[in-house]
This record gives sequence, structure tokens and C-alpha cells, in this order.
Amino acid sequence: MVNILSQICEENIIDLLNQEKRIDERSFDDYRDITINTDYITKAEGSAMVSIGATTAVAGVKASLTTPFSNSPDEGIIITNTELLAIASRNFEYGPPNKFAVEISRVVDRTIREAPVIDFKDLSIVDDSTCWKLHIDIYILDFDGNIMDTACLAAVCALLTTKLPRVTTVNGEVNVDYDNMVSLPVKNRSVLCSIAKLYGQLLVDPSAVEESLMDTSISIAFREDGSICAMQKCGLDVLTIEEVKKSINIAFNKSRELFSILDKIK
Amino acid sequence: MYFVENKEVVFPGSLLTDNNLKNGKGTFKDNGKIFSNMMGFVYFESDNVYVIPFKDSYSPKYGDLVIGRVTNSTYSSWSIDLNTTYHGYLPTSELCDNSQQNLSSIINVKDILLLRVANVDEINRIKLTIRSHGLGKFNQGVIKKVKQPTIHFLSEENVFVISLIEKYLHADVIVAKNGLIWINSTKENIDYVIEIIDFIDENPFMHNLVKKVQSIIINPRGNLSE
Amino acid sequence: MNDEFLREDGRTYNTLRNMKLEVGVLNNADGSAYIECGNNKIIVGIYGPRELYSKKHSKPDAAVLRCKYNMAPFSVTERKRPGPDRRSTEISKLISEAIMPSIFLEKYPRASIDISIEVLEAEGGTRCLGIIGASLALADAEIPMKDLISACAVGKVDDHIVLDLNEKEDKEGQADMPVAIMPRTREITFLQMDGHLTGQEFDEALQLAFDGCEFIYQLQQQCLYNKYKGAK
Repeated sequence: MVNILSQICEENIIDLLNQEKRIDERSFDDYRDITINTDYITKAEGSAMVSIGATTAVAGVKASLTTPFSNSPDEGIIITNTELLAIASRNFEYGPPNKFAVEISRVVDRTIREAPVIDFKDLSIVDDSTCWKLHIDIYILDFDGNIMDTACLAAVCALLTTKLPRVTTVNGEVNVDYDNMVSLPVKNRSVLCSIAKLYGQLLVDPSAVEESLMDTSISIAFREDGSICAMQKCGLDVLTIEEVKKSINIAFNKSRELFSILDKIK
Repeated sequence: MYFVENKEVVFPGSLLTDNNLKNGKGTFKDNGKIFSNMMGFVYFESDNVYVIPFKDSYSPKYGDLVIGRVTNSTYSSWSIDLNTTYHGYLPTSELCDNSQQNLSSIINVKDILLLRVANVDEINRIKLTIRSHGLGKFNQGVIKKVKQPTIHFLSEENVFVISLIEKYLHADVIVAKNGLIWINSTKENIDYVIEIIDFIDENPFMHNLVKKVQSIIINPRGNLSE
Repeated sequence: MNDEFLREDGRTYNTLRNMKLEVGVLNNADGSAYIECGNNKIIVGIYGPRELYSKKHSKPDAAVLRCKYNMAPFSVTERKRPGPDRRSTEISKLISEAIMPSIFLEKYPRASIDISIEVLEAEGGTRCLGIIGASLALADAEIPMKDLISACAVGKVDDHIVLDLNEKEDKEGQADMPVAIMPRTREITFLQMDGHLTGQEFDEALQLAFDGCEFIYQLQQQCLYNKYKGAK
């Protein structure tokens, strides 16, 4: 069933944009309501369910011991994976992650890795032989636009609440104490903010109907100190230098809001 | 014997009656008894019983006025999205009588049409027609999507509400059975008509709804939330 | 003797874990349901009936029911690799067969009904909860059905027949038997068993499963009724 209203909606949205309004009555730089529910999955080492408007993602962190990569023997491993579930939208299909899901995984991965949210060296246990491998799995349950920010916020919240068993090494022997769970030391928190370009206007947190009309978008990740740690332009259309600079400004202001939301989780 | 009361909420599999009634929509017969096949309100009438579900999706019937969008064209027909489970088809023979007309100049993909259901066969293929007075392509106006109870309210019980809207708000309104309403007027009046329709859509079972709607049409800018 | 027996989590032989059912939880799906039972968390979404264009997959005289059971990587103690495996493929087939007898598929020729069951957290009994959720989501989508399907597991733990096994009882118990029924006609639509039961124990277990299912049937109806009250 195709949305019969698409055409009519389109005209309505353009009309409103010209009056600096949005179809859901937000201003251009407003996020929808954000809710965060941490420690949602008891079986995961860290987890969070995050909704931005109706878009909902669950992220879970699972930890296991493994051998570090040979090119970074003193660092642990983080792997990010995103699944766009078939229940989230009638346009999503069951199957292995497609290019959109892979792009989301990789942008979220860079936001976490480049900040870095946690020091990868903290995940090392014995150099060259043993380290933690953290799998961050992001499940998109419901879709109403802006998966990128929702997925990233869920992943960061899951990581911030992750607790790993204390590990001790005695004479090269690794002992894992599952009764003694400790939080991961956080190095630099980071958040991602996506700006959509729609008929020449720049909008924060596009909804599904806005995304269906958008020309292009740019996602910008900020560290808490205000520096940029990752960026991605996606979509077919072009951006001018001014638009990119303006987007960075808007995203920086919104990132402060997102950090204050992060402060509320323990 | 009746096992539930008239207008009671029933569930899939609820036993309704073992009387020999005609079982209508939303019900099925098993071993001489009549059961509900979905959740909704049960209605007993003198000789039949039916269940009206809450969302109540549209199922096309012969003669229904519908609004559809052209999604595809083939050699022999256009495929029409009708805002329901199945697409309808409009045979190209409806529009050209073997004359060498360029069909794309008449109907294009994405066009929005006002049509009538010409036939629904046993495997739910919906044949549409455009050859009747008043049917055709929309070139202006807006289309509003509503729930089935609203359509029922506006098209069967209280048709005069539409006449009132047309008279007092100077708007043209067409209520299609498939849950879509076309409205054309000035921008301000369209917004107000949509406000009225939204009000009906949110309170389809409200007590005194007709009177309420009547008063807000006749006294525009009355407070809807009163 | 069964009456005095207390299980490791403090339940008696015929007590279910706390169960929370909800329908209409998803924004885009035509029908949806969410279930929490103990630490189990399951979300079910339905799209359809919708027209299937591929002649190869569609049936001219009825709808095709396509059912997928899937476990999240973080739903279990040891991370599960994403994607289908032998277990989830088997369960998908069985769940689809468990709910198919209840649906009037012949009302939707050439169409498909797609059910996705996503297990966000698993703690024993997910296939039964999947069936309960799928049936609720179908009712939420207002797809015509002969009955709601209800399901629960019974088993044998420390020589006692018990209802609704948790993860530990499932792994360490002597038998596990998930059952799904159409409560109206008391017909069985799904039955599996592994472990050891004598004929007499089987009779006892099946009776207990029916009692459990009938109780869950009430919860399912209550959950649908709550949605109606919320809408009102």
C-alpha cells in the first residue's frame, strides 16, 4: 500500500517551510521528545532503549574475551552492527543488513571510536593475548525518520551504562570475577546530530515524511569539548560551504542539549 | 439464545448466539452457532448479526465512490492505489474507443482520480470505472485521510452535514468510501473544514455529535474544544 | 504432593511468571504486540494483508502467511550471531503452523500476511510467548480469526509436573513440553516435547498446559479490551 497522501503532503510541507513552519509544528531546530530507558536488557552488559519521537532503537552491548588484532595489540575491540527490523516499516525487509544499515553502523562506530567514548586501551587485559571484545548491536524497532541520531544515542547510552566483570591476571592466568561488575571508564562522551536539507532549508531531526522529501542530509558528531569527531553527508543533492557551516553551528547547539539529556542517565 | 448483549465488546472466537440468524460481517458459523471473528462491537438486528471492528478497514463494494492514485500503467489498464489491501484497475478501454489518442496525455502515474467501483470479483480484483457523471481527475484541492466511522457518519447518517459545510464555508467536499475526503475552497476555509473533520474523526461515537458539528459549522471560529 | 512443592524461584507448580501484554505498540505496523514475562521481552509486528505481486509466492485463492522468529544478538547470555539459524527456522515454521488454523486466509486471495517475532530478551518459553504475541497482533490488525491462540509450556522438574518453565528449569529439568491451543474448541495447534514423561505424566502435563492456556486466554482478551478502553 503506497501512501496516497504523499503528493498532497508534499505541497503542504513546502507551503509551511516557506512560512518557516514544520508539519508537526516544531521549529526548524527542535528535536522531537527524546526518551531513554537504560538497563533495559538484563542479559546484556549494557543496554538502552531510545526513542526520538516514534523512532525507537534498542542497543545492547555484549562482551567477550578474545585475542587483540595484531596491528593494535594493546587495545580492545568494538564492533557495531545495526539491524533495520522488518517490524519497523513496511519498506524494511527481513535479511542481512543492507547498505543503509551498514552506513548507520559505520557512522555510529566512528562517533564512538574517534571521540573515543572509552579508551580502547582500557579494554586490553594482557597485551598481544587477551582483550575485551564489545559487540554493540542496534535494533531499529519502529521508524519515523532520523534513525541515525536515534541509533547513535542508543549505542552511546548502552556503552555509558556497560558494566564488565573485574578481570585479574595472576602469572599470566586470566581470572574473570562475574560477581564483581565495574563500569567502563568513560573518556569522552560524544553525540551525533543530523541536519536535513529540504527545499533549501536546514532542519534538525527530520521525521519520516520530511526525510522522504529531503534533498540531502549531514550528520555531525561532537565531543563534549565542542570539537567535531565525525561527519557524514548522505543523500543525492549538494551542500554549499555556507550550508555546511550553518549545519555545524546548528548541530553544535543541539549537541549541548543532547549532552544535558545524557547527564540524566546515571 | 444470546450469549452477549447488543453492542457489547467481543473478541475473536466469542460465542454470540445459537439462534438461527443470518451471520453478517465479522462473524462466522460453526456447528449451528455464530461466533465473532474479530474484536469489535456486536450488533443484533431482527434477523442478522454482525460485528463492527474498531479500526474497520475499507472493503470495496460495487458502486462505491472512491478516490485513488495511479501507481502504474500497463498496456491494458492503470493500477490504482485505493488506500486498502488491494489495488484497483481501470481498463484503458474506459477512455479511448480505438482512436489513436495518446493515453499519457489523459492519465499519468501519480494522478489522483475520482472513480466508482464497477465490479469486485471472487478473488478481490477491483475493477473501476471513470465513465460516469462527475468522475475524473482532481486538479486542485486537498485530500484528507479519515477512519471508517467518520465516513459512515458523513456519508450515510448525516449527509446534510456536507451540505452545511458547502453552504456555510463555501467549500466543495467529496466523501469517498475508501476513507478519503476531497476538499476545495480558499486556504483558510480548507483549514477550518479539516479542523471540523478532525473533530469528527477523533470523536466518532460522541454523544450529540451531529448537533455539536452543526453548531461549529454555522458559527465558524466557535471553540472546538468546548 | 504437588501442592506443597515450591520451585527455585518460589512459584508453586501451577503458577505462571508475571506477564505483561500490550497491543498497538508500533507506529507503522498494521498490528503489533509486546510481551514481558519474567525477563522475556518479545515484540511482534504484522504487515498485511497486502497484495503480493510475485506469482511464484502468492496463492490465487488465499493469503500466504509468512512468519519469522528472530532473536536479538543481546537477548541471550552468549551473544547470538545475527541472522537465521536452524533453531529459529524451525520455530518460525512451527509458529506459523500454530496460528494458521485460526486465520481465515481464504478471505484474502493473492495477499500476504507478514508476521515478525523479535525476541529482545530470552529467558525460557519464547516460542510460546511468540505464539501468544502473534495471535494478539493479528487481532490488533483486525484480521478475521476463528479464535485467539493461547500457548504455554509445561515440564517436569525434580519429578514434579510444573507450568511455565523458566530458563534454568528448561535446561536442567527432566522434560519440556510447549503446547498451543485454540481454547474455544480445545484443539491443539502446536505440540513439542523433549525429555522423559510416562504416559500418566503426559496426561497430567497436558491437563496443566490446558489450564495454563485458558488462563493466558483471559489475559489476552483483557489486553485487547484495555486497548479498546484506552481508545475510548
